Amino acid sequence: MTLFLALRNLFRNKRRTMLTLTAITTGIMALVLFDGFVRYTLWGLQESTIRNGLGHLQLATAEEYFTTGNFDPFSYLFTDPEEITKKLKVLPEVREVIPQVTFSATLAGAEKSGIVMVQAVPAELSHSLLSFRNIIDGRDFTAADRYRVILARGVAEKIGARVGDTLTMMAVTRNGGLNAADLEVIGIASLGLRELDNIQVYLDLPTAMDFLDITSVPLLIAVLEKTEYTGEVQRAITQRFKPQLDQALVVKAWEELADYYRQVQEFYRSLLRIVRFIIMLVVIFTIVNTMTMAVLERTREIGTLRAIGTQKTGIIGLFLAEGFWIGFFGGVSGILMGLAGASFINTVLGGIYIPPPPGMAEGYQAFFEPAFATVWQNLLLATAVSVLASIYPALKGVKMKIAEALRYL
Amino acid sequence: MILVTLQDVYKDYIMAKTRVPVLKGVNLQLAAGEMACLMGPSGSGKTTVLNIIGGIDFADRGRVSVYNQDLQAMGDKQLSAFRNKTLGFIFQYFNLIPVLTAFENIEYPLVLQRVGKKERRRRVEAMLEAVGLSAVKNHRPDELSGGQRQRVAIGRALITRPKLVIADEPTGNLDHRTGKAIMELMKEMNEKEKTTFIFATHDPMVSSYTRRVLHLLDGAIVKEEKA
Ligand SMILES: Nc1ncnc2c1ncn2[C@@H]1O[C@H](COP(=O)(O)OP(=O)(O)OP(=O)(O)O)[C@@H](O)[C@H]1O
Ligand SMILES: [Mg+2]
Repeated sequence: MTLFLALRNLFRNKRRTMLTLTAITTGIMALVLFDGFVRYTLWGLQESTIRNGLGHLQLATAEEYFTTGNFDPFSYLFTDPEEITKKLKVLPEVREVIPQVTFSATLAGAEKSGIVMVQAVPAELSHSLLSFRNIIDGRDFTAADRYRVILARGVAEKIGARVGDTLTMMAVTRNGGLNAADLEVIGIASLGLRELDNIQVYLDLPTAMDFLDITSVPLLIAVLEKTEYTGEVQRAITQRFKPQLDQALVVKAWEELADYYRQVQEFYRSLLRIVRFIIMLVVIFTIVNTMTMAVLERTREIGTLRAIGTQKTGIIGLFLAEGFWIGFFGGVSGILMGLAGASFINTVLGGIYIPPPPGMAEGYQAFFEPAFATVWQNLLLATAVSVLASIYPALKGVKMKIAEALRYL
Repeated sequence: MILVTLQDVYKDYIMAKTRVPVLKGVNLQLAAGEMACLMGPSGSGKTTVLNIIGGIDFADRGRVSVYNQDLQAMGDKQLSAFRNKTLGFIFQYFNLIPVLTAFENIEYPLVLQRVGKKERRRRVEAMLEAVGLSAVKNHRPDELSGGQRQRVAIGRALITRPKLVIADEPTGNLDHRTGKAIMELMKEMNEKEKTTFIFATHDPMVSSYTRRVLHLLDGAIVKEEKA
């Protein structure tokens, strides 16, 4: 009865109800779109982080490898990387297990030199790990390439190198001595992430192992069929495989290693919270205003309802129910508009161009991909907030003395 | 049986920071089944007396007893339930709920009492018949004439078979003929159901339907006529 009466009351002042609904609809639509944008952007960053050489899971022999390993990879070599690789590849979620060496080196060109981070993986496996790497000049490795190098764009600019140039690499090897080798530049790559673009170079794994004089690797990278499997596979490794091994093993998920991703994620989440907060303030203000007007308009009616025996809680319930309906309808229409807007932008406009965000090397085409769960959250939020915002006007309505409310014309 | 007792009832209103005495010792008794009428000039306190009897306004001093209940001592919750079960209200401006149909307006007090749907339907249909509104039961108040609206209000007041109906200027917004028809209807209900009525009015036509007329002047009953 209360819900039913409140629903009818909604249609009493159609213009006001429409205005209120429009405000809530607009707010929720904005939230849905913004949420969709953030999700797409974070997803893009996640995939480019993973497919720029991080992989989904990284396996090493010790925790410290992940902090100091690049300066001293030799202390952390696996005794039998093959054993682990074989075990992991049995899992259907695992697409590839890639042995990797990274080390810092000095790279010298004709005039300039610089410190670089060398990442070396087998050429035939590099595609699945580095699928976001975009060769903008020259070519990628073939399995036969030895002592050849691919430079990230920023590195090439820094030391003034071009495809076909020969550079000298210097680094400390396993026995502590300094080794030097000549490398032919065969390609220049764009990585998308500025922090990588300025420091990364690529070798094939046999060359790196030969140069460093090692026969094993300090790191195994698992690339999975889907990013969602990360947690599952990580658990499988630590709980099932690790006890069976007689070598040490530490597993890290990409998220733990991607500091930049986590910062961006935190940034967007805060932004989303702020936007949500502001929109909810607007909704609260609108509802309080609308409901206060409704209460005032219906003063005599409230008096009548009370006189014929309606309890105070009944009156409060009536206005809360009205708030519920406004929030619910506003939320539903906001979500529908948001989803419609998202699919319009995605399909008709083909996304919206976003200039490079801080830390990114390139702009991108943003799509809006609202998630089911957050869409429902927004509906819940709109409804809850508008019910809560109705409390104050409802209490005001019920506080009036009945005899005075009845005299009100 | 005595249904209503007001004994030395006093009431002041605060207006612009000064106390204005409105009721200065009202004494009144109503017997069950009676029809009585309060008359007096505007501002003499008729509405205030009715409100106090109806448990929607409160005396500053004195005893107010309705159907053996001390209204001054009841809490809001109890009092609301009391009004719903024991009293019926009829107002000068009809005060129907605009979003409800004639049927639903009459039904409303029964919903508050949690009467079952079937039982409600039966009683409301019978009441619509009694007040002559069966043909317009699905109309909303703004689609009804003044006389029809007041009939809905009478139906709403009587649907719970109250002990006492309080009607403040029930004909105040009706033309003479329609007002008379409304009074006929209430008289009929009084005779059939033995429902007690108390009116406040300026209209001699209304008082002509009641056996007792109480004259209120300056917050006290100064004269009583009995036919
Ligand atoms: N809530 C209030 N606050 C202040 N004064 C009030 C209030 N309610 C009533 N009064 C005053 O009390 C006096 C009596 O009012 P009441 O409505 O009982 O008179 P009445 O006899 O019903 O008048 P009418 O014939 O005009 O309806 C009036 O002077 C009125 O102004
Ligand atoms: Mg009056």
